[in-house]
Amino acid sequence: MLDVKRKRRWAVALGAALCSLFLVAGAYAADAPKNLKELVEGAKKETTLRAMWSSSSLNGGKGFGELIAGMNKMYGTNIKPKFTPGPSMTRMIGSLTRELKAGQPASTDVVWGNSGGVLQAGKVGLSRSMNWKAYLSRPMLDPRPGFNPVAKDGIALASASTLVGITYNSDMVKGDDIPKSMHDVLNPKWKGKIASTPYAAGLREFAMSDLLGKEVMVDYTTKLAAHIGGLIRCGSMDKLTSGEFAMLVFSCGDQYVNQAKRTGIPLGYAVVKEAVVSHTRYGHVPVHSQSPNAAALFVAYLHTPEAQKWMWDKNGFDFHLYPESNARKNLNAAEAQGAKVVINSPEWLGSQKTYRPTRKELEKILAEGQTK
Amino acid sequence: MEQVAGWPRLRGLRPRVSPLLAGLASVPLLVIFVLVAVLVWISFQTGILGSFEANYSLDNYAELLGDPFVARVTLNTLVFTVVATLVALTIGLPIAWLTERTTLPGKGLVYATMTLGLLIPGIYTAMGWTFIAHQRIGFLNRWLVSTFGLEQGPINIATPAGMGFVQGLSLAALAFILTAQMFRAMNPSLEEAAKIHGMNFFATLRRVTLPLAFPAILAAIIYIATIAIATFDIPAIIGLGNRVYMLSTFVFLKTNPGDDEFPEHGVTAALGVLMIGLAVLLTWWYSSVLRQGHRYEVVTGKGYRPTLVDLGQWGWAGWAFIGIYVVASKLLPLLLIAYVALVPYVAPPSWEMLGRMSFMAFERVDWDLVYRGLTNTVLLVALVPTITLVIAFAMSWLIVRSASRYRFVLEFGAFLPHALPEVILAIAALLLSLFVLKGFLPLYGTVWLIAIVYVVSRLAFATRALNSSLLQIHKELEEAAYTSGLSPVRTSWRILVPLLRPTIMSVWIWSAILVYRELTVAVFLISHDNITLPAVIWSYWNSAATNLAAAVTLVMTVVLTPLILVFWWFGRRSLMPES
Repeated sequence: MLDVKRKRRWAVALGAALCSLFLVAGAYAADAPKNLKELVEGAKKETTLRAMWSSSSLNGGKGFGELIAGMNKMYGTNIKPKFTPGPSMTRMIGSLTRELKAGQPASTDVVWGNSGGVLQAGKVGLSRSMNWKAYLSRPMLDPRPGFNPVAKDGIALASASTLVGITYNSDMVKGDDIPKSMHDVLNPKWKGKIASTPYAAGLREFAMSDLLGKEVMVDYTTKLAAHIGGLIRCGSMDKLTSGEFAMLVFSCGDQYVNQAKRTGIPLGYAVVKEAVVSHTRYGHVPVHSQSPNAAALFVAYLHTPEAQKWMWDKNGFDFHLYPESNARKNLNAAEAQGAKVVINSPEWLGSQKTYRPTRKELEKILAEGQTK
Repeated sequence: MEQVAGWPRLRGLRPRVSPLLAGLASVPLLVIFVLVAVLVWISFQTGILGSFEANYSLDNYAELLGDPFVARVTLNTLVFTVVATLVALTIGLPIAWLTERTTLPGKGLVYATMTLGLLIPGIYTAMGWTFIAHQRIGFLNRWLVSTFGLEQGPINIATPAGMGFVQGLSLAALAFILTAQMFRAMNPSLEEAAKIHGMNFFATLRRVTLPLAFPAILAAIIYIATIAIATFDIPAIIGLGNRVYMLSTFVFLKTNPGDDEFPEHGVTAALGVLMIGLAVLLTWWYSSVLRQGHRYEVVTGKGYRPTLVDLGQWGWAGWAFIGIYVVASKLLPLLLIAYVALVPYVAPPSWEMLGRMSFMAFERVDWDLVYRGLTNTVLLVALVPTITLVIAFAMSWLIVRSASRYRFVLEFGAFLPHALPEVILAIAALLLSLFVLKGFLPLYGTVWLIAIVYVVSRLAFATRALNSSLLQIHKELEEAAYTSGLSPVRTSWRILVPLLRPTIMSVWIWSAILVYRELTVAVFLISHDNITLPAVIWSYWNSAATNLAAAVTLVMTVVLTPLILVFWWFGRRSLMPES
């Protein structure tokens, strides 16, 4: 009898705890403005929006200032931008998590990051749940099955996309030499003259069962590791323009080349016929942001036609779920060639159980291929 | 009780340990102790570091010691360090001797050139040498291939030894300053005695000059070698892309992982803990030389009048040596910075690229950010060397002059931060400010946190220089002051500081320059309110905006050059002995 009472008490306590947990979780969503009007009103009470990401993302400080100016003009807010160049997207998530645990304000009020960062942010409760779709001034096109532009629990909103492919120096790689298949780069004439990334960009996604599979890509990466002259980061375009390397196999996205083409920089981009991954960029708001409404308004502003055009003109990417999107055209063209297509999202990454160990294995193969 | 070697057996004349000096010396020791404790704490952590939810195990040590990749990286680092140290000393030591001990004309220009060279970020020295000696695009290799019909360029700087050579060129200026003050303070009476006894120039050099200079040369070797072990820019620019890894780039890879990974600071901390062992060994070796310090005392109260070796017609040879070095290590990177700042993208120099030069990069720079970086950098450059000097003087005096049995602790404490990669110190300071000090000392995100780490990490440089110079000032001057009733602090102020003025001046300006160009700590502790100028330049370079990084570097070099020249022009007039 006593046992039953005790069990009942425990059940009540557990139920109460669960209810309060839901209430707390709900409080976050309930705390968030319900629509654009409420969001704008909230943002008008805030003064400064602090941002910290790489100088190459959204055109750094100058770009952030221009975007905030556009946002202020559109919504009648008076937000001052404060930009400081920051570490990589992943390290930024690490820094924000440490600050959250230490009870410090976030060093950036708004996060601009990738799917991996959103996945991590979801795991540690870093990002604020928002009613993102209610803040947008126009509808999006229907996404492909399996992709939702709003991350799980409303913690982030997808705002731009870019395709994984091969970046090349167009003075050195011309005509028939431009790769169409990923195997073209293994031609002996390129031995020692091409590069890959230390984090196996592209290779790691292609190795998932939804695309080419682990066995195929481990074999390919082993051949590639013996063929490349070095490992460079996705943004290291100077290593290509200087002629140090003729190609980067694979690059994280085509935005660098889209930008470069406008200024006559000799770079080209090739999407391979075997598979295509569309990387997604997300905006999200840390729970310890000092200007959460301005931050969310900034992310919402990125979805306006003006901001999407600005992103394409200044940064070389836009979001594929809008009809005018250039990324959409590129994605459709790649799919028309018969390539398998995946939209990289936190949900997709989270569902690929072999992603992390496979990526580590590929990184090791690339790093130790010919380590001196 | 321990008897200090060479100290007169007059108990009343033994210097008392001033509480002020002891206090000044012990504050940084406390900071270092706390930072090392944080380092040890992190080294056992996996998961999200710094949070109390992190997991504790020996995994980081197991990963470090069990990975054959780490063994290869260590071997690469060893070759790189030995070559860099040898090249730096082979260039820096003769230039220091030529400048301080001979009648070489235009010495002010040598100082100005060597100092200005440090304003050039290592990334540009590396880029410059990539265009010279890269196996495919280096013009030296291209010329050799076309002239001798070779299949590929015979020179390859993308090797540990090749990178060590480039790093050595970059560190030669440091070897110069570390040894110049020793040559400046050295009394030539022993050399003159050798000459009188029939020794020729080379025998005197081998048997008198170099043995006298041994403590300073050893200090320079230890200091340069530890910088080379931890240096990042040249191994990153040349090595990382070519899969030639050093400990610093290994740390970089561990702290900059892929998309959904957290940085492996635990492994880097474990590496730092292991490097404390190396610091203990190096410090013990250096201290054993210091214990024989009385053998090197050559500046006394009587007849201190340095005389110079007359180079005669060989002055041109000295300048030719300096000129080749300056062109290879300073002028070339400076020209490259100007070139990269003006061309639309990085490409090998050609007439076509020269025709496309413009000021476009300067228009794209975020000057508000540069101003913010400059303000913080100026603050750090003004404060850090001054605080470092005050503390270092207290430590050096206690190390060299006092009879305390705790001298080794001070010596070890001063040297320890230098043996640790700065990234480790930065992470330790970051976690300390976030989780320990947050309630009562809000240092997180401020420029003061960077200042503290800079002071701690510059102590080794300052104490090494002051130790060497203090060793060469005979105690009889201070004994006279004590006999006259002066306290240790007043004796230091009235006797030692004036005698040490050349060393103090050069340590100040070199610390200032090292603070000006320091990057690693600034990058790890960066926030809105404490960003420094090198961090701004690095952020541009790191985000592939190489032209913007070059533009900012060029502007800063142009602004700072006249200041440095004026400083040395005025400085040399009062510092240099009459030539």
